[in-house]
Amino acid sequence: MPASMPELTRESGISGLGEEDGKAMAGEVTFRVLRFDPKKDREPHFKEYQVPNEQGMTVLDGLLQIKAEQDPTLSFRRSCRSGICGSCAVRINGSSRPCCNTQITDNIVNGKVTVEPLANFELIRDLVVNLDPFWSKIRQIHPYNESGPFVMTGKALMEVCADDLAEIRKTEGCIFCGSCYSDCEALRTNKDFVGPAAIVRAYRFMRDPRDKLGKKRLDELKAKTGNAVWLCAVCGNCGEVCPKLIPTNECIASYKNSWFEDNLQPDGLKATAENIEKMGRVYELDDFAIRQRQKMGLAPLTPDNSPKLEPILKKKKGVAK
Amino acid sequence: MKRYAIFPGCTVPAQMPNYELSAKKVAEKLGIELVYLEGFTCCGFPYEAKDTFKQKTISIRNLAVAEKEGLEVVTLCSTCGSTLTKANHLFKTDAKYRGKLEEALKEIGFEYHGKTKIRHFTRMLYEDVGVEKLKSLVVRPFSGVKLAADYGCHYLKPSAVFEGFDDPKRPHTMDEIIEATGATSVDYKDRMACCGAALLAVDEKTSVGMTKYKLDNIKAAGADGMVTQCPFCGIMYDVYQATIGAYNLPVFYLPQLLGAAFGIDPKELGFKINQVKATELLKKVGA
Repeated sequence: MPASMPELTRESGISGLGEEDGKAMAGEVTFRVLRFDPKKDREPHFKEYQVPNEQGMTVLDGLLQIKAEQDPTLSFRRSCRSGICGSCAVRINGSSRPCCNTQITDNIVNGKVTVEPLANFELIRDLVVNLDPFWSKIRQIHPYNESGPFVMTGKALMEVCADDLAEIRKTEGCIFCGSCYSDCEALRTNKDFVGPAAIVRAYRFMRDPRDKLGKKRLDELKAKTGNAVWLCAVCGNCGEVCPKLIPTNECIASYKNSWFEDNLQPDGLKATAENIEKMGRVYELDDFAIRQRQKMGLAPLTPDNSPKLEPILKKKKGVAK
Repeated sequence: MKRYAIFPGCTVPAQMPNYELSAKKVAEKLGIELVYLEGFTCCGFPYEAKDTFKQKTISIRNLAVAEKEGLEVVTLCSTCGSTLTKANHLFKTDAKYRGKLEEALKEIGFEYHGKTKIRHFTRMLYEDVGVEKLKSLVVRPFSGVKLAADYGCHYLKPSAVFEGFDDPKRPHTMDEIIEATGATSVDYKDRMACCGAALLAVDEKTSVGMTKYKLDNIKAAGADGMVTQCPFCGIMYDVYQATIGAYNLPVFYLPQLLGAAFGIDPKELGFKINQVKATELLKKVGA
């Protein structure tokens, strides 16, 4: 993505639009769409279109209307029109989602619907971005069951208990639309991060008793980036934007748990966990802090008010959900 | 007098007594008592990476402590608030998980019935005190001062557990409180961007890079200062600021701003502990 690429602010100010502006009539809505033609434009820019807003129209319907009747050069990806294929995700008013199952009426901010390409990707043209890094990371986690050679035994071939199945099902809805990748805070700063979708996918196969590859499926990525999983900043955006309501944050956390089990966690997080185990808190209230609190007239907060945490934390292993 | 159990968490008492002190002073001014209970520990958040079930047990144990006293919990840290609310939500909505948690609590001599309510200090101010009341107490208006609101990630996320309070994508409650002081809450690019604090112990470069992104956006919007309500954000934007660049952007904790606007002496609001000095800005409004 060009460094100068415009991004949304809360009040969606209009600038640099000049004569292309128009006024929305009754029953119409203004679409503010990011345009960029690498052959002509030095910078991406916004252009506004008036689109009929009839009940039931989706943001994709709006884009199709623009392309069919106003500007055939507008480029965007779309296919199934029913929230299954995952190809039409864009940023709508700053938040990513497939536009085929997003109603126009629910997404008018200050009289407009602002449509931008997914973030955290290189911009190719208009609303089309280069998804290669996303797919490459998915591929590198080996997104399939590695169940070894197929042997006929005459017994049940696969034994997946209800709990495992429930856990797998939680993640199965992913349509690889890239919304979580686009709204990922850590990825904006560090493009090496594997991103939520790939972790959720890796977690799905690690939980599958038929799979034999397990945590090894991360080796390839780890060799390349070192910190494939730990760069999640726990901002919670992926869970908010997932159109399939996958509990991404929980999957990432469970996934981290499995790395802790093998003692593969970063030193900083290990130390933090040990502090909680030892003191019931992350930071020790040292003499300086205690004196400072006293001087300020704040409650003393004894540093060892948590001996009863020990039994919980001493148990060998928690009960995974 | 309204009473709430204050949940201090780990970061605030050890590193941000200025946030805690100002919250205490503002509460006093509003006739609110913040009660310190014996037996609160870490909310459990950092433990989620090691063991999600044990983390939930730590959270619920804290809620059991408050339930015994019959007090609502008010947190200063957004992450404590979110972590406790999430655990409570799970306890109340997932019978199977609840059973396992109850069992774990029993082992350590605690019981919990799902009655504790948890809110962030800011939300409590917004809902129980109200913007109008806050406005009426302002004697030192911050007129003409442009401030950038920093909500922090966990004030409203995961939104599924916050009962529809505020809008996680375009929130307004903190802006309204900032504007109650007479200040202008300025808009800036990607105002919901994350400070990156959770990555400080993992990859400092990425973490600080995330902080820089937001500081740059706030500076570009011409803000005189920044207001935060999360101690993790406070570490990044205030404590780390000078190591990232010469922004000279004072960072207030929301109760520090309110306290100053209410006429409380800045010395009593812990401004001495803020790394980026707000002296000039406070002088501008006569504090």
